Amino acid sequence: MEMVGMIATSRFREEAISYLNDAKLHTDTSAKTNMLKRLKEILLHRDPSLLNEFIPYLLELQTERSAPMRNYLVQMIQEICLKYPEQISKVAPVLLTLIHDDVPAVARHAISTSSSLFRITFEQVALQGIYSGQLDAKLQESWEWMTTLKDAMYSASKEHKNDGVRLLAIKFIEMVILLFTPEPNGSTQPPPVPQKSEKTAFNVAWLHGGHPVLDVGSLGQEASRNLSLLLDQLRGTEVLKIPGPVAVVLVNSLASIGKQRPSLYGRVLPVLLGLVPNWEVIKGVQATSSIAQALKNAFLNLLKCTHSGAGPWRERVVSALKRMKEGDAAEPIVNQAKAEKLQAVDRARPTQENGIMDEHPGKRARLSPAQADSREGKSGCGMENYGGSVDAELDTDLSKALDSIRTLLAKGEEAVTSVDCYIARISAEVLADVVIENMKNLPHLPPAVSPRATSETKSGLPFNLGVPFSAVDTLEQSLVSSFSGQSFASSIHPPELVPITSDHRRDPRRDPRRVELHHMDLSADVKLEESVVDVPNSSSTDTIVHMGEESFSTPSADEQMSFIPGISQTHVSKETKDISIDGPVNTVGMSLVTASEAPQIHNVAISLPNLTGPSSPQPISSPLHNSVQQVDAIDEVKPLVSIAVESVPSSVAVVGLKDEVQGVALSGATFQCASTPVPVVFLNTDEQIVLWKVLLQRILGSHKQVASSGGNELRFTLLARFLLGSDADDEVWEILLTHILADYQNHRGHDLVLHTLYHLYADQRSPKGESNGGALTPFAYEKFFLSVAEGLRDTLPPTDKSLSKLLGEAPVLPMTALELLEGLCNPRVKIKDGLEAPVVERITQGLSAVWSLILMRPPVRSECLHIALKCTVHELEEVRTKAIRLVANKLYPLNYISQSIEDYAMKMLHTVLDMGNHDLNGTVDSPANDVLELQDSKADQVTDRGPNSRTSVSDQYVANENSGEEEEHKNGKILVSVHEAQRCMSLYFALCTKKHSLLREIFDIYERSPKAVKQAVHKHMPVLIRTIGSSSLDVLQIISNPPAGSKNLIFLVLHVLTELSAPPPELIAAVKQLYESRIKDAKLLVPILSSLSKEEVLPIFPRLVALPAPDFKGALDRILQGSVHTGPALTPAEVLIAIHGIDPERDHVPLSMVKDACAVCFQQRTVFTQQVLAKVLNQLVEQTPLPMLFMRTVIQAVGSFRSLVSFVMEILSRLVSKQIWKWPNLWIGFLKCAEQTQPHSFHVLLQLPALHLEKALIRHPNIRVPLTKHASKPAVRSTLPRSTLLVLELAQDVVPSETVQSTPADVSTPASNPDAETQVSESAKTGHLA
Amino acid sequence: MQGKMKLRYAMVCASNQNRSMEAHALLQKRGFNVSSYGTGAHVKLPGPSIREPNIYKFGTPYRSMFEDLKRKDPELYKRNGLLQMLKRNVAVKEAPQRWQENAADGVFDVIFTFEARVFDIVIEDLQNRDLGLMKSVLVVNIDVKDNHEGAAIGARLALEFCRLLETVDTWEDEIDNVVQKFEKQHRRRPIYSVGFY
Repeated sequence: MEMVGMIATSRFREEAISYLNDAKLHTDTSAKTNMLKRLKEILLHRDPSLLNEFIPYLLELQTERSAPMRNYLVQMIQEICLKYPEQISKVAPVLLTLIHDDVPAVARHAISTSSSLFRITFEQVALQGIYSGQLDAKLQESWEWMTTLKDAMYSASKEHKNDGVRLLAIKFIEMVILLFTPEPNGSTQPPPVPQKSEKTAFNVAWLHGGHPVLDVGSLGQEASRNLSLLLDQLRGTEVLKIPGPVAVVLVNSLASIGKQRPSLYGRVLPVLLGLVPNWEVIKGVQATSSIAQALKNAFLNLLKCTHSGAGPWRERVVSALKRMKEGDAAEPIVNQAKAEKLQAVDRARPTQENGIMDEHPGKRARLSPAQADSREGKSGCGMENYGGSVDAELDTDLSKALDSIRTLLAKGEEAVTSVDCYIARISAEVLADVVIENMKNLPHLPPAVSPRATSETKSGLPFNLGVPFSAVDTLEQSLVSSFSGQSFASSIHPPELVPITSDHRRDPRRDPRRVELHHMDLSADVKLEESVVDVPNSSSTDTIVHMGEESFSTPSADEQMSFIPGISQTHVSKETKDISIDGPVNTVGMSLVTASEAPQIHNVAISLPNLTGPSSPQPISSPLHNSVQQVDAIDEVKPLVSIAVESVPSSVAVVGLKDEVQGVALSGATFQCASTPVPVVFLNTDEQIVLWKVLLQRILGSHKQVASSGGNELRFTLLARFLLGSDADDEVWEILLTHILADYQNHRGHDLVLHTLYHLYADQRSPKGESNGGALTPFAYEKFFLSVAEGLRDTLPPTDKSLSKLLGEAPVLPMTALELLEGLCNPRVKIKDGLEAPVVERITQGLSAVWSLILMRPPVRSECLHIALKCTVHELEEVRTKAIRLVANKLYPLNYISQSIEDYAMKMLHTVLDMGNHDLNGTVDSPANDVLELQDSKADQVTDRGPNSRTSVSDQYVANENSGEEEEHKNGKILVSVHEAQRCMSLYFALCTKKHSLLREIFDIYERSPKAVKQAVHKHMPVLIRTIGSSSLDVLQIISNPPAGSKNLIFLVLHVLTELSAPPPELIAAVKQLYESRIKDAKLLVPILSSLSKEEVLPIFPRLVALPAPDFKGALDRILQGSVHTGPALTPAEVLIAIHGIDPERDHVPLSMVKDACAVCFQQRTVFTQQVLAKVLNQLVEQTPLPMLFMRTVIQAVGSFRSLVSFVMEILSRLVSKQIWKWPNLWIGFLKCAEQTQPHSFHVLLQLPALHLEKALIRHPNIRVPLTKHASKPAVRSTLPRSTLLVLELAQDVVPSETVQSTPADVSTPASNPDAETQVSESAKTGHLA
Repeated sequence: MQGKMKLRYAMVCASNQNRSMEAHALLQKRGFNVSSYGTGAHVKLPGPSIREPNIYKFGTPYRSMFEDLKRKDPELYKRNGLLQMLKRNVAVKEAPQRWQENAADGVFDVIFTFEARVFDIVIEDLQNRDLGLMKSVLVVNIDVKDNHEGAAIGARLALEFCRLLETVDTWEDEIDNVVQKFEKQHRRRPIYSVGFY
């Protein structure tokens, strides 16, 4: 049984291997996928034990060029993992790569697969942890991979250039949010026993009992961050920027989240409702009208929610729906009226409508005028409604807000919920102002704070801030949590909140910036500010950027400043832990700016205060803590420290901001912060550099957070600028390089490298670049490029496409990069016994890179082509084959290079003619030379090299080939030559299959070629001809009119062409023409014989018989085989008869050849069966005169088939009756046959007339005795004539005359010569007759 | 012909009689891979008066409806075109199918509706299914009247829209352009949504 199993396994394994290979080798995509389907069938259903072995091979398919293949790979991965989840950790890296696939369909499939795998794994992890309290290593590994995948999808949801991919990524986030948050209606306890059935939906609430890996709290936090990620994309008019389907899916997803998760309802709805004021704009824009519909549906859906959290929102949703149905024109007025009406209805929240309304004008104003314009251009209506006098509005908003809070709070405890709701609804802008206003009212001493809040604050902050801060934090925290709509029922609202004065509202935020600016060189600042701000405006999602904005806003940029705090709420909440908030108080900021406009000055401004959450400042503050001792002072002296380093050329400035916090913290509500002196610390150059590096490492290290919040693009740009601005030494580049290469895929190495390269390039190009601190040598670009390329080559597997992508997308290719490529493609290996696998894969990698470069980078096209061409004559066949495949299949069809390829191939072909003729003198080991040459000419003219220089290079190649071959000549002449000839000709042969007209050249040179070359041609030709086929006109032309001396080659070609299938009529015609006009060689006709008719074959039959035996045999086979349609030209019998019909004299065929032909026939006993022979003999015996070889054939027939004896005897009797003795040659044969067939022949012999019997007995005396014995049998004897008996001496009767007459003659004959016998018998006959 | 089309379509109206079937018939004729459904609770056909409609269950063959109506009042139903419509339907498929009950028909790429109410029902139904396949589906609505002329117009519009969809690589990236183009050509603004299987 086991045995059977093993056999089956090995059989499946073999099958699987062959499918896999076929899948890789096939060129046709559908065939490829078919193979994979079968393979999958085996792996999944027949013998899953093979999975472990095959998965690595399958994963290699990720580098397949054809997208359907990659797509199918994803399909396989999915099916495999759904059935065998333990494989997930193996396949996850591939999914990770394919998520970023260039083909959207593949990326989409990868994402949907990842999603389902994520869900499965998550639930498995959760359940296993719940039930067994621990996770097995395998599952844990899978889970880690899934987490990585999840992060990748987060960034895809925001950044992916393809909308379809984004849709799925958003859907994925929705799924994660739902997975990570408890289902309110589900059971909060896991089922007591692990269930296999899927009936009970998994609920994250089960995890409350504890889990080794998962933590409900952090899952919830992640869900909350994700929700922000989705919400942010819809805030304000963001929705107009994103593509329609994305917006629709966002709205749908959010609605579905809100509906299913009451806890998030309050966060979702404000954002959705926030879209309503933009309703007309959205509806007006054509592409977004569907969003409106989606929004309406979302509201309707959300209205259906019955849980308590939804209650308070009902009216607002209803009114929003009503509003959405309003006509276009009346909109503003109606809104006003509506708002008023609403206010009347809902007295508890008198200003909420305004709050909502105002959120958007506020945001809108953040746009630069240019953006607003473009937006207006897009939307085409009504923007001015929103862009009005912002400050005025804000002021009124603020006082309204304060009023209403005051009113609410006055109601006492029971109003707390109303306050929460209110706060949750007012715009971040207004809320921020409210907070600032209330800062002034903080007590000098902190109120009692819950220990939890304090500890959280402390643990989160980089420094131990002064006690007063805890109080502020706590306050903030409470505000935030209520803002974000989470249920909040504590009573932390300090009563001091209520009294308010509003005059200084703005001061706290503006002053510090002014202060800061005073500390810096103003002109530089302005430039700095410009250089930063133009970037962030385009996509204002990155925390870093916001900070930059804040820190560097100029005093004149009032508007900008006033809106920053409100906006950044969302971003900070993404990044930080619970307590993170920024109201107006937030000025923690880091800004890394490269001031390319401001020569000699590099500023890094870091401000390090205070209230906000830990995560964003952390990367900066910590290194400072370590490297700059002064920072320690922060802990002790003041809650706020500023360090400012004014920069001399290339310096690092750390500027601490004087912040309002101080004022708040000191709590006396005095705002004289501007006058506080700021300590300035100067760093020396070394310190600066150290700081730089630490900074860089920090920034690089934080890639994950940035990526998951979707800020990658911006980050790359900033990083690149940052690096460029650094005056640090090479180490900075090495740090970057190490980071990139550490995990090229996940660190988004490609994007980062490209950004950096482009900046380097631009810098190098610009005239100013030279003066940029001298940090960048002119070779910086090249150096960085090369080190990345080499790094990629050395760290990534050869199957990875990153290198090729880099080469393809870099701004410009330095010469050194081409050298690197050259090195990949043409490894200098002198080992004759093949290459190691990795080297071969490297060659593939190099060649595919070359290919894409040729396609994508015209300036280096000819250089790349040369690398490829050079590879096609590489001494190692493996290399050569790959290169030729590339050149012939992929490059040759490109019309802009096909001529160059052809020329080169032709040149190489002609070199073989000289083989063995050239002298040894000019031998130089020149590949190295070659590169030099290439390089030199490049240096002169990097981008534009004409075809002339190319040709000269190829000339050189030719010279090289010759010289290289020269050396080998000394070793083993012939063998090496054949090899060499193949080396030079392979490319040409490959091209012939693409362009048949090239074929003639081979025939042309054939005659002049040395023997080795001919051998090589003979070796190549069959393959070539088989590929081209007989239908090619060029082939036919060559056949009907071949160049002189190419006869043998023609034979070969014909042979190959007719080998497998019947020759087409055109080919037959061509051959006939050739036979008739040029080459009178029947051998030529052999290949087409099967297609000729009987009438055509018979006339040339003697010529065929005259061919050497092997050729005749071939001809015979073809004649007998015939074509499928017409059947054989001649039957075997007809063949034999035709052979017998040949007259040596008339047909000029030597008799021996005819005999040979007969022999050939007799050798084929299966064809020339005894029936055939009988038939032939029957016909031949009727011929008059009898064919010359008749008796010979009879003898052979009976020799071959003993059973023919009786039939032969009949023939012999017929011969007797035909008086066979009259043909002397045949008579001898007759007797010989009779002798050989005795005793069967006795009765025939006895039929002979006595005279001839006697002669026979004389000729073959050994038969006399048995014959006599036979004749003496009474039955026989009685039938015999007396004369016969006399001859046999069975009768005593004396007939002297006859006996005497004949005896002397008979006696004399054998003694003399055999020829005499005829004469004698002739004379005897005549005598007898006479 | 069918081989050239990339997407699988569903035409949906209330009763799977008039608008969806007209479109079904037309698209099928043009080689699209298309199915059709209704979202109503029953199949409703006009009767002798507005208060006496003919009501059938989904799944009742068109053929038996045809015979039923012919038996009841051949004159009337010939005059209002119902018999002709049913005859056309018989040629297309066996019986009206209810959208909500035919989830087993598998995944569509594009769902076309002819009435905002139907559009909403389809979207909601898709959300309720939630198979977790992560396969996106485009739901498009163009409002047309539920009479014979309206159906003919709707079917033509659906055909044009589907043709446009077939010209783009992935509708996810191009849908806004397709809608825009369509609106320019036909002065109708389709509303779309994106659902997931």
